[in-house]
Amino acid sequence: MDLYIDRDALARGLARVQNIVERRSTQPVLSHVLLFAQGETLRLTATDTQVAYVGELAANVTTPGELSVDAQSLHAIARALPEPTVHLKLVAGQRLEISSGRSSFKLPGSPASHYPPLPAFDVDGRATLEEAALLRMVDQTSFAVSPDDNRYGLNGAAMHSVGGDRVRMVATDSHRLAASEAVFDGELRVGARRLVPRKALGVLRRLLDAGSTEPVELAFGDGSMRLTRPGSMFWFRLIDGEFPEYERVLPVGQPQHLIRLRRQELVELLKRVGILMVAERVRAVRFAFDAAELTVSVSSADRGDIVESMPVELEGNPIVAGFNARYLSDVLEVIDGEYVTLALGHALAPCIVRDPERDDAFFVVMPMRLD
Amino acid sequence: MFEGPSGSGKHRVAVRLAMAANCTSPPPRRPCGTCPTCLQHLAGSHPDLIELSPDPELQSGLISISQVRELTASLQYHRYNARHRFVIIDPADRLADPAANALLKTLEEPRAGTHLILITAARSALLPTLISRCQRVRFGAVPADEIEPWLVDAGHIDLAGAAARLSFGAPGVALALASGGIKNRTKLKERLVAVAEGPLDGVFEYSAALTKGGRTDWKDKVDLMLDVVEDLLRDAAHVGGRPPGAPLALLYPDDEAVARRWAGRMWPGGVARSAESVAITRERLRSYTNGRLAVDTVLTRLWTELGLGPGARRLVRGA
Repeated sequence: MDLYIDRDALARGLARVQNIVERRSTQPVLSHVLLFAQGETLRLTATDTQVAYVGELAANVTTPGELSVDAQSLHAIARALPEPTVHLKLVAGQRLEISSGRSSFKLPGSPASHYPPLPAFDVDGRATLEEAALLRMVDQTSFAVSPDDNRYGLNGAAMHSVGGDRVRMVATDSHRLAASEAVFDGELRVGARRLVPRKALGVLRRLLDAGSTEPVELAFGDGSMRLTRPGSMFWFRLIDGEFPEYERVLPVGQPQHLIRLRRQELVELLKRVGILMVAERVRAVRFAFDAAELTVSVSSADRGDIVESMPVELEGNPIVAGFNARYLSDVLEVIDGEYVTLALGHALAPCIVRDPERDDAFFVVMPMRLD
Repeated sequence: MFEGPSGSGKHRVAVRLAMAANCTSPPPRRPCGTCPTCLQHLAGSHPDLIELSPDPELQSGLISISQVRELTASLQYHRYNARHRFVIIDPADRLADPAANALLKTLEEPRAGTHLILITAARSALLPTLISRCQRVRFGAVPADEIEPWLVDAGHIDLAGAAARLSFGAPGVALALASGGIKNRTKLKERLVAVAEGPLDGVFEYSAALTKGGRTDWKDKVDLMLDVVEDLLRDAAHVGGRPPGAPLALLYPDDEAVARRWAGRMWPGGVARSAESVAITRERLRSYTNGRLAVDTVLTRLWTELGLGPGARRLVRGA
């Protein structure tokens, strides 16, 4: 292997790799990045066996070849080199020589054959969608993923087709649920739910660009998922579990009580209510909806009381319900419209939160019994 | 649950089983030992072969609950690329109680295609709730006359006989003995006989020297010493229990004189009490970390029962 490459491009490519490689691994090779040079590209591969990244960088390759080296060291070196062009060369003893200007490093490497091969899989579902739309789905659902590792089916967000050209991402921890949809192109079997693990959602949030309308392609099969963008590919292992039949608990028909209110106003109100809440102890906050006013109150002998009100529009009879204030604020933070609606059947029925201007996302918060 | 004495091949069989289940060669040749999948299993680098053993950074020598949580979290993922995923927990008797409890649910209902193999040489040290959730596979002793030719085939011609005899049917032990372990053991045995038959001061000096440093420094040496004491007691019992003139099958045929001397001094009561002391010491060393005190106790018992050292009076319990 012998090639010349732009220093900044190399450093940027290696920066992506840092989030994937294992820092403390029983298998040292997993802290490596695999370099593969051929034609006009240098391909970087990194994996912790749950997530893998493959990125291609433009390079001037004089001799093709491959080798893996410690990812952290190579990244640190690439960032610190003095000249804008870097020369990478495989030298005797499986070592990588990195030179730029008058500076020259040699890193010990291992042969590419010691690097775990990315599993090949039979694709049985594909979806192409806008990068920003995928990120929106991830952002609107990942907060609701269960933090409890023992509940296999809830440890990720499920992706499935809802018929037509819509794909839905949905997550729940059984107290609240978040569902967000996007328009896609491709083929997805209706009913097949792919469970994208929490870690993969985190990687997607860091990686995807909210400003990009470029298409990204998702391919599913054999318990894994591949995401392809121009110049890079991600591979994720999916969760082997059953996502609950959440559709059955969603209320159908017209709600008994429909409340419309200004989102930001409720966000601010809940922040003040939060001052009196002890983090480790969840208490129901009392929400009393009247024809034109919502009165929120919480009182506790040791922490104190708060009462606050804001204007709302209510269709239906007045109602009083208890909620975990944080669950509501989490939802309000991932909606960006000016107004939200809360739809309630009765005081202990699931509450559906939506942006009245959009039909591509909904959120469910389970009420709490008031003491 | 693979249970049986150390060196009986439990871990090796577990890895071979995983290889056989995942080998990519055509069926009659599985495991082939040469395909990439087999090679990764042998190197311990296959993502679908997960090994759990005590964290070397933990002083306790136990498998901790955080290790088990990490395991269960990783098991919720689909397999990497193998047909079957195997988890080998070795030694399972080192699972801390909370760790064992955290494992119960996974053990009871592993995902389809995921197999857990618990390996132990001390089943009684496991929680009953773990044992009841496992299918037991016993690894018994292999006859010495099968081990000996196997060692010869492996190139250990000179030491094959002695190693097979001293291994008590555990091929792994025999192999370790034949590849040099037997020399250590002979040296240790000679020193031990001299100490046990010498002055009492020598017993304490030897014990102090043997248990120098931390537990990880002396644990293996002490285990080996206890093995040798047991071997010598077994030879003494063998001589003691046979009618005079009957042919002998000793573990240390070269030391027939030692066996006769020890049998003469301690058979039968002293041998039994010394052997009991060894067993108690082993049990204590499982958790009890004052090695020197434990070794002092067992060797003083042996020294007293032998009564050969200068100034030794025979202190027979109950007499």
